[in-house]
Amino acid sequence: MSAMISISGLHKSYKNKQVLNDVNLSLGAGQILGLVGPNGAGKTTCLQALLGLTRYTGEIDVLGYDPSKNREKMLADVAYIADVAVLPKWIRVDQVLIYMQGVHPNFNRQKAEEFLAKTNIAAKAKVKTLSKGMVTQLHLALILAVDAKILILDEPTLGLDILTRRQFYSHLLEDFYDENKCIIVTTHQIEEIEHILTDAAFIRDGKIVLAESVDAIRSRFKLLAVDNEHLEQAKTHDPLFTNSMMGITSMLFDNVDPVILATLGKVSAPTLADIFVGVMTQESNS
Amino acid sequence: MNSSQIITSFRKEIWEFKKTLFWVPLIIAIFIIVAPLLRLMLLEDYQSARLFDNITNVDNLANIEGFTRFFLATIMGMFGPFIMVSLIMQLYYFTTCLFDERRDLSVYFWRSLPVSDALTIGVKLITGALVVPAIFMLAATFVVAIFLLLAFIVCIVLSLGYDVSLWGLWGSADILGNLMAIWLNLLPYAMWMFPVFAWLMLASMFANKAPFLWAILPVAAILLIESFVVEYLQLDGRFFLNTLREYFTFGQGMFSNDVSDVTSPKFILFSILASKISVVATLLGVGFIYLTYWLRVNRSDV
Repeated sequence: MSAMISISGLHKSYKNKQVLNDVNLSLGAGQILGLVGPNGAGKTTCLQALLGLTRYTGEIDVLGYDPSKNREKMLADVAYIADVAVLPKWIRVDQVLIYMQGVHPNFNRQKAEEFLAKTNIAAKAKVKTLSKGMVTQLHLALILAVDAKILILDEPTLGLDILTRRQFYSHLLEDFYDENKCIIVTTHQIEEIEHILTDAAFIRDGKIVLAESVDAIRSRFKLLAVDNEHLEQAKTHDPLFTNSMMGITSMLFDNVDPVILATLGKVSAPTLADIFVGVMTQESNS
Repeated sequence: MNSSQIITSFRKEIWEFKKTLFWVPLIIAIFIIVAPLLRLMLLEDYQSARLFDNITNVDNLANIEGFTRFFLATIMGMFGPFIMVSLIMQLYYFTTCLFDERRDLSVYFWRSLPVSDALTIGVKLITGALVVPAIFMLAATFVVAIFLLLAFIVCIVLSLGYDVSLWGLWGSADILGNLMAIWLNLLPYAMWMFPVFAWLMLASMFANKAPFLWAILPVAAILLIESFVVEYLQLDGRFFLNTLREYFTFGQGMFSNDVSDVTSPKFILFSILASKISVVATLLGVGFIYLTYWLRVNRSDV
């Protein structure tokens, strides 16, 4: 499988602050990567570098293009939704459709109109009159109508209610995704998109601290509900994270034999959110 | 970059400023049409009679050259308010065109589409320099057309009711020629103002707040510093101030000397504007535009 996106040695700094530090990532067709990190970890900067929207050092290859040199050619096959409502407030819905049709070689206006027909967004409505959820729906309609090979989503559901969030990801899978495309998504609500991810990358202080397939991560990390009797014994296996609540202690282990863990308590598969918290806590303690 | 992208980009600029570009010329047009008509309706009887005498005066009618000049001056007078308001609109457009999209973060949307920064900058420059004044001039032309229609009606009334024929004046007025000559001024005007427009675009792209102040303050600072240095060192002249004054003012000499060889009065303004275009200023404008482009490519992240 050849990589659709390849990032190696990506660095970015604002004045004296290092925002991205030696980021290396690779993504191929069919993959959906969740780029997860706390606020200020460098997720947005990483995506903006990927889109050629900010300067950087290092090497980025997107569909054979260098984003810093061939941004507009690359963007014919790459779609992007930013973390804030970035559609211009003054524009009308029908105008933005006309604009997209005029400037984007891979935009299908009919597809966007069909999507919008399922919503309560009026064609003559101005963006400033739409609710936040409607603006996101409009942006999604525009992006889904682009026959893009890569979709980059930066906290696309930030500030939306749970119904709209679920609807968003459902449309994403139904109307955009297939095995020839790839998606990068950053989100704080990792538990909501966990089931759609094929890969996950955790980023902290501009560094990728974990980047693997979701299956590999799940087989690598184990959650142990340990009783007080085996607590000290469990601690000898260096848990990433320990949480005691209502008399039960939960521990997250990385690469510890499940057979050994089973002798200490009840072993279960952690969620990506559990692993994220564990990895981030370990990183901050180290 | 293809023609569809170029046309759509121009449409986008018009949409963004649609309200201003539609209502402001319309309001000026209505005022210019209605004000003289109201004045005409409120004339006393003796004033109406004097006006009628002036119109039908044989000596006046025989003075074809004088009438042609009067007609040209009238048209230019009608275009005047439109051009002045258009200049204010242009200054506003250039100061906000690249600032607003960064302020409302829509720059991330525009730049996530396969449109080059060079095209965006080029379209904004042409829109502000040519399209905005062209819209105002179109409104002015519409006003002239309305007055010509009224004049036509007056001619019919005089011809049928008073047996006074003014039809000969229509041919000598050179209506189309005069209108085309006025429209032709748009090009040297845009070229002359190009450094200013480019500077404002640079300020619009550079400023994170108050782009208008960023456009004004550096110039004011240079003038102040120059003034201080000249006073302190007791130098002869103020280079920067004089250069600006020379570039932007129309001295009496220009009207009397430079245009003496111009055959037709309708090309006087064209000749004056063309004479104001400077290679150095144009190169400076090109430099400002390149800097604007560079900032757009490399410093668009808000």
